[in-house]
Amino acid sequence: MKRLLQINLCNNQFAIDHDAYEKLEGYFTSLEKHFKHNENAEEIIYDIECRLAELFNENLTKGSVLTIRDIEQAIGVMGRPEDFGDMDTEATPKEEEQAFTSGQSHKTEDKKTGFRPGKKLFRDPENKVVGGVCSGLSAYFGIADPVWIRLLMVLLVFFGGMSVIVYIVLMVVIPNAVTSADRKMMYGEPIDINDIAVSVEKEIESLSDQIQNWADSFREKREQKKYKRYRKF
Amino acid sequence: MNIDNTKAQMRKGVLELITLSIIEKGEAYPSDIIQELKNAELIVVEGTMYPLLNRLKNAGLLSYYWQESTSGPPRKYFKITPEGSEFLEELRKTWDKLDNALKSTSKPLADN
Repeated sequence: MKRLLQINLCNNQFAIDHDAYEKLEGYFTSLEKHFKHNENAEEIIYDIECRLAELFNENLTKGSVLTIRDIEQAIGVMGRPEDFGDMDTEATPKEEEQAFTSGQSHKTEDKKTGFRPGKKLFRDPENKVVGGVCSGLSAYFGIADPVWIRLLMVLLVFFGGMSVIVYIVLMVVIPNAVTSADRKMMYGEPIDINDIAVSVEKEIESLSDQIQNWADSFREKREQKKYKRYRKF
Repeated sequence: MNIDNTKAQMRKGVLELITLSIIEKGEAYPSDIIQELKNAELIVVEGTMYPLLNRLKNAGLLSYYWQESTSGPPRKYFKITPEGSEFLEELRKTWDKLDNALKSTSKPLADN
């Protein structure tokens, strides 16, 4: 014996049994959780709801009842939130969301230090000498040239050598700025889709430089090997 | 260096380019777009597309209208906006650059 429920999905009526209802409800809860930092969560989830209604309509003979199998099948097509991947760069992760909202309130920026709320401390792999700690720190405190922090670090070595240990600790503790969103947060800039397109373009350019370097070093190695082989004979 | 991260970044960039290209060909319903992307093995589940389409729409690159459907609720059909076409053109240029970079750098290896 199973209890039947009546539900409304995207203005379509469905009869559903109790197990299936719980499963579907759980799925919507997971969607809400996944999109909770997305300001358009409601719209996205409604789109998904409509697609699910369509899938149920396609697979269900008229007048029959949605069972747990129907729900599982539809979820299989739609995928679970953890399978969606990170295709929504702008809003899903928590830190990025914070950086985004704080980027809107530029007025609170402290003109003297260049410090903006929502900034995050990163190591800067693009301007690094050792681990990018000093360049990351100078980005964080709004100092134009990381050389001042580096000088300070070097000077501190002569006062007990603590800065070497501090540097190593900082290098372990502070994450590297990997993505373009990380870089935005490092400088405290608001995340904007056009900016990301620009940074992607830059990244692609630097990637092609890197590929060139790899190709060069690979060729060099090959030639060295060939040379060694000839020397044998 | 994490290969999965690199792969995901590459796919992510290309996915926007390809989604816009598909919609540029003609107005499209998410399921049509999804089917094409599935065939091309770019995505696995439909759910990936809904946040992406929403983002492109909110960025003004896509617009949509409702279309009645025989198989259930009305459907959202997406079409590309003039800004979307411009954006796509930029992405294509970048892609060509990348493609050229790859070709010109990997040729000596193929010859050997």
